[in-house]
Amino acid sequence: MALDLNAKQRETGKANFQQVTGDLTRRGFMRSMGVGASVAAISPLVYFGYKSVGKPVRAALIGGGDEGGILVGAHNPEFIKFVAVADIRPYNRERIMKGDPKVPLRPGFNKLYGPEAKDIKVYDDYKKILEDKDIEAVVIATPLSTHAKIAIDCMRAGKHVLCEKLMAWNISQCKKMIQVARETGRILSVGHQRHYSMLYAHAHEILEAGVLGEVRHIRALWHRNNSWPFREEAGSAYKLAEGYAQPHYRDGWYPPIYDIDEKELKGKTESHGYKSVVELVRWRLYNETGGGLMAELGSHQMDACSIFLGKVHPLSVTGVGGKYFYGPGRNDRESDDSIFITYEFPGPTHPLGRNKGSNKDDIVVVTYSSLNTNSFESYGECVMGSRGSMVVEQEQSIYLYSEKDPNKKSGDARSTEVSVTTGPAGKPAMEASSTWGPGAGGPAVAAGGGAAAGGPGAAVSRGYKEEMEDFAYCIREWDGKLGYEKDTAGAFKQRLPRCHGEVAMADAIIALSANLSMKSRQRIDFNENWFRGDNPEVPDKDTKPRIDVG
Amino acid sequence: MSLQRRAGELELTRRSLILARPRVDASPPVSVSLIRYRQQAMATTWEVTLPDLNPAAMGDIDHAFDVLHSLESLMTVYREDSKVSALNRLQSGVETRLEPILFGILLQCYEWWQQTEGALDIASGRMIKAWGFFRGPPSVPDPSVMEILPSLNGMDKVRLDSAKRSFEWLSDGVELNLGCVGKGVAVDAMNAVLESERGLSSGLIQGGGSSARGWGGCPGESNGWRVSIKHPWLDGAIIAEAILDNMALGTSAGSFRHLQHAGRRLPHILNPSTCRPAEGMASVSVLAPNAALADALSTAFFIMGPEKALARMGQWPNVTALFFADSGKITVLGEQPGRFHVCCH
Ligand SMILES: NC(=O)c1ccc[n+]([C@@H]2O[C@H](COP(=O)([O-])OP(=O)(O)OC[C@H]3O[C@@H](n4cnc5c(N)ncnc54)[C@H](O)[C@@H]3O)[C@@H](O)[C@H]2O)c1
Repeated sequence: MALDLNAKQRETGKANFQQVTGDLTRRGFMRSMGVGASVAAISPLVYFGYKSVGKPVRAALIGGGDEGGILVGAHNPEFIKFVAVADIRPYNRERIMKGDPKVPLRPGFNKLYGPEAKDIKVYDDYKKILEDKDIEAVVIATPLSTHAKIAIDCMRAGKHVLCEKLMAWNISQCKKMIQVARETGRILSVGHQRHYSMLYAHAHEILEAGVLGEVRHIRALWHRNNSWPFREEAGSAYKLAEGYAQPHYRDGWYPPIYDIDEKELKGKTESHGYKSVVELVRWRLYNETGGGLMAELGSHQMDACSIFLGKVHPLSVTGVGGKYFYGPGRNDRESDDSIFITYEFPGPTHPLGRNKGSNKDDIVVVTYSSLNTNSFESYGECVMGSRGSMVVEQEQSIYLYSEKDPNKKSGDARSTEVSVTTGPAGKPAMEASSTWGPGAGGPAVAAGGGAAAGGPGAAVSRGYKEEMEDFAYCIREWDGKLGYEKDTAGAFKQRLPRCHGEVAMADAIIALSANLSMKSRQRIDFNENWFRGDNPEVPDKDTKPRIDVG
Repeated sequence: MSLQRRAGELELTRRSLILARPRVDASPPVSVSLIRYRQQAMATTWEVTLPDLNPAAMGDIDHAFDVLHSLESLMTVYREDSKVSALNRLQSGVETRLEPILFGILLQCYEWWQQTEGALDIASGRMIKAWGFFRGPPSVPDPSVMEILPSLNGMDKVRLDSAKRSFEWLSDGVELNLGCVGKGVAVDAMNAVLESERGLSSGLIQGGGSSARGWGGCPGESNGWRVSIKHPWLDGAIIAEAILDNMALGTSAGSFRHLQHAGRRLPHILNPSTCRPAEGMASVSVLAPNAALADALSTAFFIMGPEKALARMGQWPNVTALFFADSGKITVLGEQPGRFHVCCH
């Protein structure tokens, strides 16, 4: 977000960013943490309310690509033990075992499991996993068009499912997934990892405490610059396939086609739901295999915004977007490269808001943009209130700034910058060094305010690890006993993963309705029935999925 | 990582230092959230860190920073309208009554000047100006200036009368500069606001990384706040860690502002007895019950070096000092050398 680039912006108004005092905040913090006032370390485990499991869940990974590699790197073998992996592409079957030498977050099974890695069964078709009775659960990280079909097949084969986001390609598919989870009594969790991020939990606490005053606007964005020329990687072990358009620009959505995939899969992708090897590898670019920028990036951040506002549903969406940059010979695609979306959300006192009030004017406008041609601002969300602003940056840092109070004299020249840092315990809270006289160096921890509490370099967990841990915990807690019954208030009686089917479906509705609005060039008003798992109404009933879920 | 520790002294070679990197921990790491409040003062960044389970009312934090800014306006020599600047313009023989705070600070510094045999000298403003460490650029003074500098240093040029709470110069041309204790003084004052006055049970205050004080516990630590001390010249490396458990840390190092002279890098810390940059030490950190003392002694010990410091240590109960010499040799002095966890292979 722009705030980390402009030092002046940090210099706004002196304190009093908060009339709501620490007492209120304190109560706010304590309520959800369920602990006493004493200083205590809060582990995500305690915070999110799960426990360790006795025996790790035996799981299979379906789809060992970029995200599959990240999930493997983040999983805790005390909760989940991968015993099998299925992927169509030989390139990724190799990579998921060997790891990605350039990306430490994708260490690969060989490194993580050592000699035991050879016991992992590697399949070229997920159907083989359905037959394997030893496998209790699956983690699905395949292209969007396949999520519903694979998840439903797995649940019907008795497996619990953690499926990557976006939940499904259209809302009918989401509803079907929810229905099958209920019928089969399986856990269904969806990978919007912000539900398991301590950072977002704190952001939510701050908002709940009213620290920001009246919030009227949230601005979220994820801008990238994918306009730089592509260079083939020197010394790559893989040859580019011949006869294919290779990338013109460096662009993660337009990866090279490798010889190794082409040889094995040419002419054989139709049965898996891809017209060609190109569609399989670059699935994000095509409307029938992907869901565009809203599905890939926007859904996470709208998920965050709705977390901020108390997991409420939006009232309307209007979007503008298009393919303005890419074209023939230059990473061409069906999906848009620039999108600009505006949502109306109900504020806390709106009838549909968090507190179910009666004030219809209590509206929070949320805007979202995603581009491929500029990366000046880093990705994140900025919540703007009458008493302060909160910036959440790159899932790593929170910054709070107070609004300047013109009635308060002391607020003139100085400003208090407030940030919340989260990191592993037991790390130094500051680095001591010398300073002397003007211009001397400042404290290490002050740089950007983003350093985790653990001092330099300690990264904040984005939630992948915790998301998989809770999935395992829920499996151990409910295996065979899951009823999906609701209490009178409409909440599930049994504790489910935080991003269970209905929560994830709301994220899919929010993302895909933006696509509909851009396509139809019309404002779309949300219908509460869309968000009900047991109601057949959907926003996108005319869409035809590539893969029929049966 | 093996920890070499024996009472009294610790020796390590330069090569044995390791770069700071996240500790590998087998048990699932417990996550800790801290709220950090920052403001600029005394030309550097100040920070109050609190566990986010008991955040302070913004008013408490404001008040602590207000105290910091008012102390700065009192002590700074960078503003003409400060009280200390006014004292520096005062002729000898003229008595002035001081507000209790400033008088207390000067009296304390007088005692430290005596206890350190002149190494901690706030009446060294002229020397600091002559070396260009006031507004820069730093340079070696002319021989003619060097000749007169010794006569313009020293708290013996000052008379403080406790009964009248008054200040008087005994000689003209001498100037105060509270740079060596000001941050510590302010850290202590902020601590008093937050801990004693406002009753916050735990927190860490620091000014510019060189002065810090922690009370209560940091989440994830059994008690106190863990802080690390930067290596004076290796980027990203740390030389030691310490726990601030109702304890303050002061650090003086020659690494930030130094002067190139005849092929040598000279530290910015000047030795009042020679009126030249202190030599031998690269960084000195002191753990003490309050931040002003930690700040003062880190400067004094930087000038004195471990041998001279050892002879005087007995004067300050509960003080531990870590000396990092130019050669890379580390010496820890004090009754409880184990308070510094020196990082080495
Ligand atoms: N939560 C996050 O932050 C996040 C980030 C990136 C991607 N994702 C999601 O993860 C999923 C995968 O994305 P990616 O970046 O890893 O894509 P990718 O193209 O790198 O990997 C997808 C893998 O799935 C395999 N695959 C395709 N169809 C298959 C099938 N029928 N059976 C078995 N394997 C099949 C492909 O061969 C490929 O190896 C997507 O749903 C994406 O939205 C989530």
